Amino acid sequence: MSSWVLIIIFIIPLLSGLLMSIFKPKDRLMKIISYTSVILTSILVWFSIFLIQDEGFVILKIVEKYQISLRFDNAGKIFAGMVSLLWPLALMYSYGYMKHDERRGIYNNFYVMTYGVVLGLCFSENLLTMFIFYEMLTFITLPLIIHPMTSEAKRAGRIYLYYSLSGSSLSLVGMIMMTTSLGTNSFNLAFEMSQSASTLYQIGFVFCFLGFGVKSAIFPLHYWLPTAGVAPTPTTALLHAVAVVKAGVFALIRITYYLGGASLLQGTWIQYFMMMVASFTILFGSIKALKEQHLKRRFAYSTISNLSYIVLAISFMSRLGLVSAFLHLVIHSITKICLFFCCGEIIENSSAKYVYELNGIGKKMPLTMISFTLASCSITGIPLFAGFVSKYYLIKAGLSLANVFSYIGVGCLIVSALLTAVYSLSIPFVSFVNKPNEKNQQIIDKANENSKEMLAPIITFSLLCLVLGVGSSFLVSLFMNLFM
Amino acid sequence: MSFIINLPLFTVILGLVAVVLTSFLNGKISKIINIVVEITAIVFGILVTIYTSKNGYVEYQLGHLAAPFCNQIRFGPYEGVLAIMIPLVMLLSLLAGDSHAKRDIVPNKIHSFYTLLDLALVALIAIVYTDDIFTGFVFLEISTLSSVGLTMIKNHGRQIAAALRYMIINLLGSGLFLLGCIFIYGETGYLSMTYIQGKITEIFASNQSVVGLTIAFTLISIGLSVKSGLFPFYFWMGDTYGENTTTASSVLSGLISKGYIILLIKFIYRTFGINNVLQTSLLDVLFILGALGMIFGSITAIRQKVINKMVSYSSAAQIGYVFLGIGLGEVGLVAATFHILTHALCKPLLFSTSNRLIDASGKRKKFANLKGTGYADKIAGIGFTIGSLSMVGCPLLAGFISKYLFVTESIMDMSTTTGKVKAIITIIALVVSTLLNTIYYLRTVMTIFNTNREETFELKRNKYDPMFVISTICFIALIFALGMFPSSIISLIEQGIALLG
Amino acid sequence: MEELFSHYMEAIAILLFAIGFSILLFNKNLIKKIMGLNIMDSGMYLLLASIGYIDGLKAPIGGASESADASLFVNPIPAGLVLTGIVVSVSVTAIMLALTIRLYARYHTLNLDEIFEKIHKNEDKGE
Repeated sequence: MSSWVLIIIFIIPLLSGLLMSIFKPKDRLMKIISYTSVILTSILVWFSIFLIQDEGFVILKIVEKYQISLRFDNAGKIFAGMVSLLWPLALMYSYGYMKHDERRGIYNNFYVMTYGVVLGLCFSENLLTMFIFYEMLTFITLPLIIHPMTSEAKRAGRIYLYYSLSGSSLSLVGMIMMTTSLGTNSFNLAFEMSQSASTLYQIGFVFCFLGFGVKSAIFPLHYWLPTAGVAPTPTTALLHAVAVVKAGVFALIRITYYLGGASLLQGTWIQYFMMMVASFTILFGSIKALKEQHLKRRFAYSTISNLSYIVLAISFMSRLGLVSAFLHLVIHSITKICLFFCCGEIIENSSAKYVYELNGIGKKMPLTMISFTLASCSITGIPLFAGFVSKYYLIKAGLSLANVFSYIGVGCLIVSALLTAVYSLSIPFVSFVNKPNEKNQQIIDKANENSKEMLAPIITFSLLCLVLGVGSSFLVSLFMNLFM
Repeated sequence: MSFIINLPLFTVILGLVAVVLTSFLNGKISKIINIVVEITAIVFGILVTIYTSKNGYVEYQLGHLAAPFCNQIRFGPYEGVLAIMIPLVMLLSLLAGDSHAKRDIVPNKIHSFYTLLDLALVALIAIVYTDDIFTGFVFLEISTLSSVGLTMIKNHGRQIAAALRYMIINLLGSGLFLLGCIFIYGETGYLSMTYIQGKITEIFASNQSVVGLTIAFTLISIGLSVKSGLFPFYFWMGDTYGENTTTASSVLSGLISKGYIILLIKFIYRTFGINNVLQTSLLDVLFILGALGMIFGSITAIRQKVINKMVSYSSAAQIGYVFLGIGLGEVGLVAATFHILTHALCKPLLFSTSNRLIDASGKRKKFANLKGTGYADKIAGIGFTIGSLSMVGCPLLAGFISKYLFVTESIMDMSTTTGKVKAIITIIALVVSTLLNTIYYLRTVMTIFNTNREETFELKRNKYDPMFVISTICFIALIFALGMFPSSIISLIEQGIALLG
Repeated sequence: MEELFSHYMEAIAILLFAIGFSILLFNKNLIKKIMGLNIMDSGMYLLLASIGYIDGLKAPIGGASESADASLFVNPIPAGLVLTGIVVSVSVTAIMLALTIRLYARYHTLNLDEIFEKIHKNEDKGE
């Protein structure tokens, strides 16, 4: 019974997107169908979070040891719960943003279908199923990136594809190695395993880490993310702050904690390698974000940096590490989607693209910039905001591990927090405090806050950043109960 | 049912009857005869496979005396699976390219086209079933002749020159192959594969000089590799497959080159005996050349400016995959055979859909001129996309299972240094060639669905062609079926390989 | 060296094969390529025949009074193989000659390189 519910849940968005691309309904009908399917799916997801037991079932057996099967366990529930709350609001935002676009029909259909694929990823019971949905995610988000059809967009799409598919062949090799070594690739949360890891398992793990690391944007596999900034903002926001990149780190969580077990790799060179890569990427992302003046690219680099916060937490390979990884996964998604939506609204409604063009825009777009401020405080990690919570537990997990690499990681975290304060808080600062000059007077004149569809999600998310920060104990104790 | 063991011979005889009939009957009737023969061959193949998977291999003598005094054929599930694939792919290619055949071939000669197809079918089926090296040689030559005929069917000057060059290369290969066969006959005194293997094992076991046999192995391998297009002998592929009518390109690249590889597999496993071959370094050489072919074939494909030639050169890369599998030894043969099946399904799909896309752009083949053709002919666009995704290795499609099999089998034998080195080379070659495949296939897919056209000419809407639609749907269904339910085919292949030598 | 002279038939056969092979591969003239093909095939027939030949024995054709004793005759199988090979060789030669005639009628040259040059020139004019 529960099996059918899970299948129905991720089929609904896929099917509605497919039907809409065949029958091509007009604007109002398209909006109605899309909202209905997305909201219905989200409601079903939340019912399932409470009602479905944690048991797996097989859909299709491909070969020995490799089968497609679904299961809704705690990790999947967290990711699915978060995504299902964000998607309806993101859909609303995308209607506001794409109002003037001729081909918004195709865009909308793929936007809806991606939801189904991401949910399928949450429901995966083993590495093969997750790999299949991971691949589908690459292909189904490609049309969203190349949507503008300019040569820039096509180049971004090509680079995205090359990086992702190279990564996927690495993950395929790694998956086969790990499955051969373990005898199975089902996901089971494991912290203590009796045997030590064989060489085949370790090499396979490294391959998988590099393969899934492409979507997690670790250095040097991150290049596709800033390049994909040319995509329309709803894409960058939802996919590259919430769905695609979080799928990457979710996959990393799965292979670290749910296959051979976290203790299998503790203390090995692999753990130190992961920590070094993560620490370097944290610093790299923050420094590049500081130098970058283009709004969306700045936050793309910020995403790269924040993803490595999660990778660092994963590399601690402890229970607290897992809790802090999930905390940051959820909190960063909400924060980053808010920031990107603000950027998108600014770009759409005032054609400003660079930070230096934003002098004095606060007067014309007050609500937007206030939300921007709230989200920036959250991403910096100021207490009372949500971002502080995840950073706090991250640092705590790092310190409790007590080895050289984790201290380096924590150090990089703190430096990055300072840099984040500069690059994120400077934007609302210049928009409220500075006066407009002749160079951006045109932009200021054009700026407006008239699109309610874009404004509503922005305000919701920024308030959420505040609420989760103040009432954080609820979330923290929930995650602690799940994993400790 | 012991009647079933007669079926392989009946298939060949039926094909020969069809060859004779189609050579003088007119075009329409020839096509019907062809389709009937192919459907019958598919049914026979299925019956043979089912029978042999239950009862083991069958040795069927063709004369009054048993081997080695008279000819015999020997078949098991392995031959059965191949004997299903060959007529099936030929039938679907025929349907896919039907309208193009009517357009490209001179009307009063179109019956000869079907004669050539039947001849190719007979030759390939006989190669699959044969147990005698000289019979193998004869049908090898027959398939060469029919493939040359198919190459020049379009009757332009360019085709004829390409056919001549293709023929010369094939004859060089056949010459080497025949020389190798003569050496084997000279050393062992037998022509029947089973007995040759026995004698060769004896020679290897005793301390006699094996130089002659090694030379024979080498000559045969080089000869068959030249004909099938292994690196570095693949440069003729662009002209031969690229400029041709749809059915001819599909049959040539999807089936005939595989026929040569099947013969090579039979030689390695049945004639020489895999244990003897492992004592030489033949498989290692094939492995390295296969890996190089995967990479360089893809690089050559990337550099092409015309879509037909790009699809042709990617065959070189896929044949590299197959040789990589052969080079891995007995474990790799499953992957190699599965890849033969995958490629035989994907390549005709790619050729037929790309030819339709070219039609939609008004016969212009360069990539820049193909923008947006995916929308003008949606079925062709979807077919090309699925074929490309399978070549790249997208899950749920057949190409993914191929890649999975290659990786799994290469890491099976990690005990020796050679095993480790081969595993590393396989993984590197696979990852690099996936990236290269992505570059040229998915770039093309993005081009054909590009809506931003600045070109001045209008895209035509292609006429609705039911045969093409049926064959494309069948190909897509088979690719999905092979990708989602491969275990039965894989177990058949494994069973067959165990019975092979 | 001794071996080479005592097995002079095989040595010459391989030599013929090599000559024919290199003519087929390297010579530019189409007719000469076909001739090379035939020389190569002749080499192979010689090799086959020499394998079957045993000094002093007769051809394997029995008269009415001859007994069917195998030790009196030369090995008949290679002769059969040679016949098959000749058939194949003749059909291949026929096709190649037909192709050559077509090409000559179109391009008025027997030089394969020149033909390809002309083709590429025509192609560049096209799409």
